[in-house]
Amino acid sequence: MIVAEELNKRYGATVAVEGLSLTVGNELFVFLGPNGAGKTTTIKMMTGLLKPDHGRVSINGFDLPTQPLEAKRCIGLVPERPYVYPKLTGREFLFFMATLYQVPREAALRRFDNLVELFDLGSHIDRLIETYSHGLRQKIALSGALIHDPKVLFLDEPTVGLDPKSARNLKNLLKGLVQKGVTVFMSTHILEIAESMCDRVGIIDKGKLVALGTMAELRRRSTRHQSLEDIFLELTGGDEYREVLKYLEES
Amino acid sequence: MLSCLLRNKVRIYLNLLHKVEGSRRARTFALVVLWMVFVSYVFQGSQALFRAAVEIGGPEAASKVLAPILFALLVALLLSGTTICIHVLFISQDLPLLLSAPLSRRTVFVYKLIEATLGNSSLFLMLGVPVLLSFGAAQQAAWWYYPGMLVAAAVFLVVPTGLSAMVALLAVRLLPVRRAREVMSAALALVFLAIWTGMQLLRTSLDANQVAGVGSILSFARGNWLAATPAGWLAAILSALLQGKWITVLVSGGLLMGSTAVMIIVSVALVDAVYSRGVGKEEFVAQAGEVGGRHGRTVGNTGSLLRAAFLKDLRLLRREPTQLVQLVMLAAMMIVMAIVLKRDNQGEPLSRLEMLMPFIFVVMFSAMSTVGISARLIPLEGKAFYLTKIAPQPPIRFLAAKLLLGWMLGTVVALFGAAVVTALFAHSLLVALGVFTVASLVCLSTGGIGLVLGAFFADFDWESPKRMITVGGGLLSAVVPLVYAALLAALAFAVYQLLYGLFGVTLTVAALAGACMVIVVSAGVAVASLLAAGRRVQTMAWLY
Repeated sequence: MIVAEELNKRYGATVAVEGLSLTVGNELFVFLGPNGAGKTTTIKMMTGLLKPDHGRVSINGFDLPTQPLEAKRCIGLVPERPYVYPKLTGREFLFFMATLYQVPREAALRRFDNLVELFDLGSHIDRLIETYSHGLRQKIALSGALIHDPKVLFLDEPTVGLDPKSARNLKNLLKGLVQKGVTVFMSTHILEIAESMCDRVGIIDKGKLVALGTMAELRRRSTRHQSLEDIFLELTGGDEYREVLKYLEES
Repeated sequence: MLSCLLRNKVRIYLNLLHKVEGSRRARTFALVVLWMVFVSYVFQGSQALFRAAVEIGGPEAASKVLAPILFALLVALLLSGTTICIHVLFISQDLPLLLSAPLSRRTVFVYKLIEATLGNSSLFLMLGVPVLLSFGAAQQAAWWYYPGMLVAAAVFLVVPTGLSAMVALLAVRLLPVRRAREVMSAALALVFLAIWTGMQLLRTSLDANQVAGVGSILSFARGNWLAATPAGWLAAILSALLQGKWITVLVSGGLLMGSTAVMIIVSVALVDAVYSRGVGKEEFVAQAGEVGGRHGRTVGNTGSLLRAAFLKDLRLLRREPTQLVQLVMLAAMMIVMAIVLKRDNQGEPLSRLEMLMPFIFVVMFSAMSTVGISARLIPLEGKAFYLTKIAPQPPIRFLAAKLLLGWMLGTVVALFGAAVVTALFAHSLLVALGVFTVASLVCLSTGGIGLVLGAFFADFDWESPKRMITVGGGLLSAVVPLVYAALLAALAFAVYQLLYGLFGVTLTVAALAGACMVIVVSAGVAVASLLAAGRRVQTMAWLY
């Protein structure tokens, strides 16, 4: 479970996140927002990469500032860009991650085999990561985040760069993880994924949480719009996009 | 179209000056001041050299001294230009944008060649410009020497870059792009080491006897082989400018410009062939894919965190050889300094303290090596460092692994230095062992200091391995170990003096007390630094 209370973060004069409170339980939670809305900053604060100026985060009951190790033990993170050690091989990286999270040897070997099979990494696993394509890096970052069987999984745009088969595998995997009791917090731009997969949606705009609820709840609140895309555009000032359509029609 | 690209480049440079925050501007200003100090140092040194040459053999001798200096610079520019060309032509991030734009490949290449020339000019500005200015100043050159010199120098600068582009094109056909860049960086480091060694030996020759020193350069330049190189042509142009021999200026200038044109034409033809295969980071990196097959197949156990973190850092370091090259360079410089010292004192009877002097280099250089390596072990992880930040482990454990690795490498340098100096100065094994122990202890504490510098000055967003630490951090990592080693030596000497001089204890007891003090201080500094670096890593905001 993730509990965030009154999170605030500023970068100089720019407000990145303001007064964000959120509780995410055993579910697949999708976090939406336009570029620069504060999604990544929120994830960074929830995973301990950034210290909030104000507010608290707890993960599975562990307070992040006061019990960081216990909280981090529960977390798996796949960042927006899959930065992993380019000079390690995929195998070296995954076993390093297993050691980092103190996964017992037998379990590490078993999970390693499963993940390699799941993401079709077999023929690449002994090559240096610097030779991987973007999609392969995404897969190895995902595998690294999953090797310790996290209780809370944060994914920042996880499907970018994945081939259709791996994207489908990931969707199924996330559903399976939620059924196993894992909390999945995912930010994405792909509204179709959000609409079809998520239990609840949070929409952030200019650092503030502007909507929170299940798809049905969001639809009820919106009188004019039915699809998530319409709701998203309405809440985040996206009606301006209509201007684009108008321009295209006229030109 | 080329002018549009160049205008854009100028705009980028202007933005770097105008549209950056104050701290960055202050850093640029500090760099300019440092550059000016360095340039004036080189100017004065080379002016003294040229004056000595003129006194010995007239303007002809000064010209003959200039040619080998320019030749050394040409080789250095060629190698640094190759690494720059590999980056600019095959790795830089704007390539997909430029090559997908409606521009001819030749336009893109010429633009990239100009970009590489500008990138390569910093070395020339630091070493070449003050030498050329001092060449004129030493011979009271007329005003026209200086604008003429600038034009000739600009043309000269294009020659090694053009040649570098050809070497780069050849290198990436033989090796994966990044490997080619690493090989060239290592070769560049070796050339710099050779130039530096030459300068050290020359300095001692000049100090001892200016005639002999200049003579040793002239003997290198004997024969006319240098006259057939761009370095010889530039030297001839500058000499002719001084003496008003305009025909020579035209002939040598023609040769220099002709060779520049040939370089550009050939490399444009070559690059066309290479670019037509497609250029992109992935495409060229992909060639490296197959060679990685042997890596890490045996890794299948999870072991202790310290061991895993240590092995990970060791692998990253081994596969990013720039840092190891730097380590080898420092070790080599340490030995050269000891040899120079021995050469300086040849035939003179040395006191016991003077005999121990070269060991100071061992302590200093091993300390510098350890700080440099330890500081870079943090940003070596690059943007993957977030993994360390989110791991459910106290950062101090990862840092302990880095400290251990940095200390081990510094100790290897110390062991090597102690062994060579002992052999050179015929010291006893006991002295060697003592020096090695002290150096190793100093490495332990400077390893900790390096971690603090790394934690505070790391630049995780590096493309070139040389840019892992900010400029300020780089300067501190060069200065701090020297200051620390000096302070520690002063402290040990004070303890020794206090006990031996004032309290009259035996020499052995005083020396042992000094050694104990070194052990305590080193361990204390290492632990305190480890804690400080751990605190910094824990609290640092991750903005990547």
